[in-house]
Amino acid sequence: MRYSNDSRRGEPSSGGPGKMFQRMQKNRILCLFTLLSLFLVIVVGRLFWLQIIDGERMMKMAEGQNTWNVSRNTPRGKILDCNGEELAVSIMVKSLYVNPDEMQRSANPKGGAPAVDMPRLAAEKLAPVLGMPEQSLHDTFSLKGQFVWVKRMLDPADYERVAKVIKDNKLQGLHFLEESKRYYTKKSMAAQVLGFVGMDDSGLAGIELALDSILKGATTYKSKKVDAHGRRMAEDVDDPTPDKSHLSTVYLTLDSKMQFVIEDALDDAMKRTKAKSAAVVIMDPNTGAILAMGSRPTFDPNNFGKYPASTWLNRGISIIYEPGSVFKPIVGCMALTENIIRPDSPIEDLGRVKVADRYIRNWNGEGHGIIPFSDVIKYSINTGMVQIGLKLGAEREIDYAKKFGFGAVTGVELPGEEDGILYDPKSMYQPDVATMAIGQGIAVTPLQMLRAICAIANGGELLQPYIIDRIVAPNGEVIRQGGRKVVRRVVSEEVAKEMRIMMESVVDGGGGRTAAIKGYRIAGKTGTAEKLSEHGGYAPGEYIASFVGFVPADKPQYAMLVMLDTPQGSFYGSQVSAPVFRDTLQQILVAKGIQPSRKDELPSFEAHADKALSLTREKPVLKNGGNGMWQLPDFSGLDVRQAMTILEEGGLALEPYGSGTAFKQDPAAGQLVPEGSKVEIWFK
Amino acid sequence: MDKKFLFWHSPAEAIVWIVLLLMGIGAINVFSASYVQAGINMHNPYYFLIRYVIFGIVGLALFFWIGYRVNYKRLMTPRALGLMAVVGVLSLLAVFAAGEVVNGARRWIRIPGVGSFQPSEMVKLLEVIIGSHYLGERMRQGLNATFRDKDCLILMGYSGLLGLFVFMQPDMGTATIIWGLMMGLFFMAGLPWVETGVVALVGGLGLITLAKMAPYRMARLTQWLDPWKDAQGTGYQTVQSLLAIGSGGFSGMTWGQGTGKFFYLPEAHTDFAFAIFCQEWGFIGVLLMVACFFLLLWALVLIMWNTRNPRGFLLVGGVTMLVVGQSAANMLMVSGCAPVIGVPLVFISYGGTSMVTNLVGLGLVLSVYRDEKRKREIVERYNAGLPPVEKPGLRVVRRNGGRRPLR
Repeated sequence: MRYSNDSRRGEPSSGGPGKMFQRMQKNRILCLFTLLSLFLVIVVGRLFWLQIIDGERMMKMAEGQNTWNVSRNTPRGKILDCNGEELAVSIMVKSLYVNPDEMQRSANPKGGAPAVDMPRLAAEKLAPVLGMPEQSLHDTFSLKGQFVWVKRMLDPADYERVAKVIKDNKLQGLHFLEESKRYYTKKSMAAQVLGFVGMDDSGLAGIELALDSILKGATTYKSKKVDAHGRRMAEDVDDPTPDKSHLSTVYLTLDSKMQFVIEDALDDAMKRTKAKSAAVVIMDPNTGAILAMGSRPTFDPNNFGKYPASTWLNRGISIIYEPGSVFKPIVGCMALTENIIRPDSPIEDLGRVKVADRYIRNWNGEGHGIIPFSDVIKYSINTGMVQIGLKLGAEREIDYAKKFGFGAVTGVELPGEEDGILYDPKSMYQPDVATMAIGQGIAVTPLQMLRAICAIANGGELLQPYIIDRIVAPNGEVIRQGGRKVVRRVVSEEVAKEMRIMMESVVDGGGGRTAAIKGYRIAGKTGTAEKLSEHGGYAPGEYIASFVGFVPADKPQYAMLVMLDTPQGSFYGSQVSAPVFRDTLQQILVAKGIQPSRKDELPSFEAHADKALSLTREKPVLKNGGNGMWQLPDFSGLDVRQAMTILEEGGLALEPYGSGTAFKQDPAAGQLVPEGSKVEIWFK
Repeated sequence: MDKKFLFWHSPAEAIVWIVLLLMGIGAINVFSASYVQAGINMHNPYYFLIRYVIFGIVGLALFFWIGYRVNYKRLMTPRALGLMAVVGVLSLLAVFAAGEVVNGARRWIRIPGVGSFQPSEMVKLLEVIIGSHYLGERMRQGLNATFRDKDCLILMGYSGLLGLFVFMQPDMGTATIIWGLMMGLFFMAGLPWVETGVVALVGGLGLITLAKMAPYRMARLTQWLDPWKDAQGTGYQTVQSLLAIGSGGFSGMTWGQGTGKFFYLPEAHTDFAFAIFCQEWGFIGVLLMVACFFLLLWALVLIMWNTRNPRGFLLVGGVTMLVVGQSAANMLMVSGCAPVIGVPLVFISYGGTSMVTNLVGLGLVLSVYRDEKRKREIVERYNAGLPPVEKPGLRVVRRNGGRRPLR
């Protein structure tokens, strides 16, 4: 292929130097060839590294940058009360976000100087409809990136307006995402029990937190391939509307009627006593179901962020306090079980008793002389209880307290429960043993206290309190069913019965007379304890007034605890808490149709009233005024139950004051009131 | 010289087929890499494909015409060379006068109805032709290239001037290539090793100094060492290129399914078209393409090896550097082995001027090959005692258009 040397005659340029030149040329050719080949080899080696060795990692990174996980939420599961009344529901609302890159690019699709200042235009048009300052919108739109929230959870009406503005002005880069928004239909009712939901459909407190995994709307992640500007690479088919029916519904044991009554009573009590805080719990002593649970101060879970965090606290389970005299029936049960005492055993009350180097006195310092044990409970006599406590001793006191469920969480399904404080029996001195018998030196939660009292009410069994009645899957299957669960038997039926009788006597003529409801047998116990200071020891001059009781005393249906923290003015449990108990239960008993057990004690007119009224005038009835309005009749002369029956027809709520027959009402007779409103009636 | 080259009859035929193959791949890849951007910005996904095909046809026509009908020596008359030298300078000056500013640089002249014309690409070939002539003429006289000679310095100065104009566009990458090409020609023309070393040293230092004059150039150089350090800033292009290449894996994504072109990788259909190719065709495709360029290199080297005419020899050498050298540089740049300088991958990167220029260059190679073959035939016939050509006179005169016979 190459010219032979002697054929070089055709090449005049070749000569002596030509040969040398050829060698040089060939050297240089080889140099060039080697260099360029080397480059190509490097390229192949490098690409082998990038694509084969490192390929996996690179692929993931590339995928990472062009895959967007778009989350779609389905609405959160409902929370209903035991009767199926809606407490918390979710609806899907639109949230507005901006893709700033897309917006900024839309002004100048071909590069070069932007024709319009898109962010400025968009901010100008959207500021009034969104109710946001134009400058902050402009700043948002001018960011670099592909996803920034503009405003979340728009009201449906706002959404329509915003969508129209976007469409009319052909604004690019603004998009909506559906999000689930929680509505608490009854506003602040049972707020602490229900809790609330944060921005991303995550339960942050209460039942919402406890059952978050069950309630949480399914989040379906759809990965979307996007280009560097966040636009979809390919038109992909929109997936079908997410199945909204796959969410479970939670039924609570709460009864919104009772809850409504206690919320009302709490508001009233807070106003009257100016207490710092308060808690009310109603429980079914036979099953452990929590029927109502209220806490003050309270908040509206629809706008929980506007309230201080202290209002979110469920004081029924999340605070601890010294129960004081309310604890006496528990100690009484211990002594009865241990046969240290009988209800009729005589006890000497000298008004004060010396334990070690200190005296323990009755609340008024007076002595009653020799009295039976039942009167010790009835009149809440500290000296008597101290003697019994000393006989029991530290070991047995603490042992029984533990059996009654103190010092450990009750295990109710609500988050944030406290476990309380119990002494270690080994480190208890005599005065500690003595004061524990009167409910000092022990810290309990309201729910623990109520549960222990329920054990007395139901015949001696400690129950597991529960608040979730059932959880129903969308196909109707009950995933979880709450129910009566006995933790352990703590006292015998006998002892429980003896204590019930003693507690009934408390209301019947003892220290808790203020809790009495005419016609009903009520058992209860008042308590006034010095408040534990946050810094240890007692807070001077601050008291916790509580009352715990159940009704009817012989066959208890409802047990209730009222706790008021630092009421102003009078601070005795009998003065401030017992009336709350009375007023609340009175309405509940009437509403629930629990028949009075002592008809003979009722004012005789009840038997004759109907007859008498029918003679004098027609039985008053509600007249339908149309549009959901009701015309009120004249209630005068009727008793609570009759008034309640009439009002219930129109779905009106009764706010009774006093007892006996009605003599005054607000609004007045003949007035039109909307359905669901409150009618105040005074009885005497 | 008719020896078979693999399964082709000759290296020249190999070049023709490899060029056609590469252009086929290039057209497919340019379409895939550009249809997204073209669809959105030009409202026509085929915008760049159509242009590629048009320029391809024009280029191929020139390629075949020059390769089979034109004698390259005709471009090496003083008149033609003088014209080329002036055109090179004027076209670059025209860029300053009427150039279009894109991304802060003035590189293109918009010719209404035709498109953008990038003189700096054309200048590369002009310089190779001019350099081949002067240095080849020296070689014919038995002199090698050296900086101790005035003419060589003038040539170097001319190249420096062209590069300077390009540098001021500013386009340091292309300027470097223009200077580098001339250095390559000097090297091929026998620049002594000592001078080569000195030039490499001085050139390297000079480039570093120039780079340091502008912070963005320095940033480009430093990002190359670790693009991941600022993956959203200066290293963005390299990182995106590496991601595109790496995500191709062994067999690549399906054609058209690559993601890099979705605005992630800037210059996806021009300087970084190779990355898109790697993403969609995988390592297999890379091997094929590198094999193509290697065969092209081999064929060119074979022709060079057998070219006795020094001017032809240097011309082929220059075109080899222009075509294979630039392509290798581009692949190194795209795969992150070299700093990002705007050098195209021949036939794969979209660029009308570049494609036509390279096709013309390769056409000249074919012309050189044809000329050498003819001369060899004459020698063979002479040795065999035959007249130099079968029909003496007629062909030569007609071929030269009646002008004076060429040497």
